[in-house]
Amino acid sequence: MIDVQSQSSETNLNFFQTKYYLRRMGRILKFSAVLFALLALLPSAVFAQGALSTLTQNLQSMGFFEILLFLLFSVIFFALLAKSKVLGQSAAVNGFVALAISFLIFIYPSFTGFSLVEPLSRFFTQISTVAILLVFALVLSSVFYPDMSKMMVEQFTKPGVLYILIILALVLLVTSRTLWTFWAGFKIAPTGGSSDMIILIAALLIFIVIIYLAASVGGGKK
Amino acid sequence: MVSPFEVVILRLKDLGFFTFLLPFILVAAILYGLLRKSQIFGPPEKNVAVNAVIALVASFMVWAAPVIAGINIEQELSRFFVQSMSATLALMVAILMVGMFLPPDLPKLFGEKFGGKNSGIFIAGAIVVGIAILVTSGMTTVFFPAGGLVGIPEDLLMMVGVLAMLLIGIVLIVWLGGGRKEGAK
Repeated sequence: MIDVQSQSSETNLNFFQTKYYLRRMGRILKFSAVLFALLALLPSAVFAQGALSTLTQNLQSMGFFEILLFLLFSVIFFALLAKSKVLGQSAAVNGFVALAISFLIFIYPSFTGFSLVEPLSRFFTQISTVAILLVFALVLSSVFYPDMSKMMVEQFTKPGVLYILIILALVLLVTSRTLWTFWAGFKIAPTGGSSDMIILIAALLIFIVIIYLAASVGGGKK
Repeated sequence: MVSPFEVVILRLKDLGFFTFLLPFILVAAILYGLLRKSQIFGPPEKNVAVNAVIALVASFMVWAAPVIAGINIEQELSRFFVQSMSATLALMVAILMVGMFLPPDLPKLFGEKFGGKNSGIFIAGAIVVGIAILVTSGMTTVFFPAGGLVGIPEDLLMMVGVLAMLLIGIVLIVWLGGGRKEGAK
């Protein structure tokens, strides 16, 4: 009896959900039809050649994208400080620290002569391409799984997946030229030492970290 | 006579709709969805602004990519989606054909047959198909632009390459060594 009742309420819910989605789809279709008619009927002079390209060039010359990066870094640092609670829960302290760090990042191009906009634009485009690829792969493989989300929790929470994604992120760091930020920093390092020496020390440090990581991976296996 | 659909598409193309606006919308939606799902910055209800700002800024950087980085993925993206649609259709037709011989509820049957350790095989296969489509659609230009990796000195690239090889080698040796010990026990 209870099963019959719960089934009928579930059916009612599905019916209302379907009706709601159909109404929403109808609205979107009407809006698209109006937009389509507008685009077809308006004189071609209205559509300036490459209007969005000109707009992007103007925004770039205004320094709009540098400000966007400042916004991005301040928001990321603020959110991470608030989440980790390293400096407590005070929004003012976290805000000041996040703003100070973002201002320091903001002035980086002025003394290195290296703008962060191009590599980060590449980086986000490449990350988006990888995301689109993964979305397609998941949609394609979902045909074979009755409960896709359960299977993903079982399969994708292994450490191997994390290592592969870390390597992928490092590769994207190279292909997007974001790695150049380290090189640009080395070039003007005020230590007085030669750049070769600095690179050698950095390489040694990275090598020690790699060996430590590898040893800890092996230790975990035992 | 030119069809009204063609007129509209050409006008949108002239405007830069497919080069700038569509990738912007696509990336913003995907990134916002992923940020909400992964909850990197905490519960999504409390971090609507943070997630929205990050998704919007990242998608604005993708918007600017054709002008700033010289990456134009208008044609490549179109090709990628057409090819992926064809692959999906081919797969659906294959499953329909298989459905003639097998009992109903194929996903359940596949789950039983390919469960356990091999359950990730279909995702791995789909990723391989996706990479193949990525190559055939020309989307690899996003990763390797026309000018190559100009800007990074060769010796630095060499150093990174050697370090990466060392990393992979050491991790493999330690990993395999650990596995053998485990097996010996």
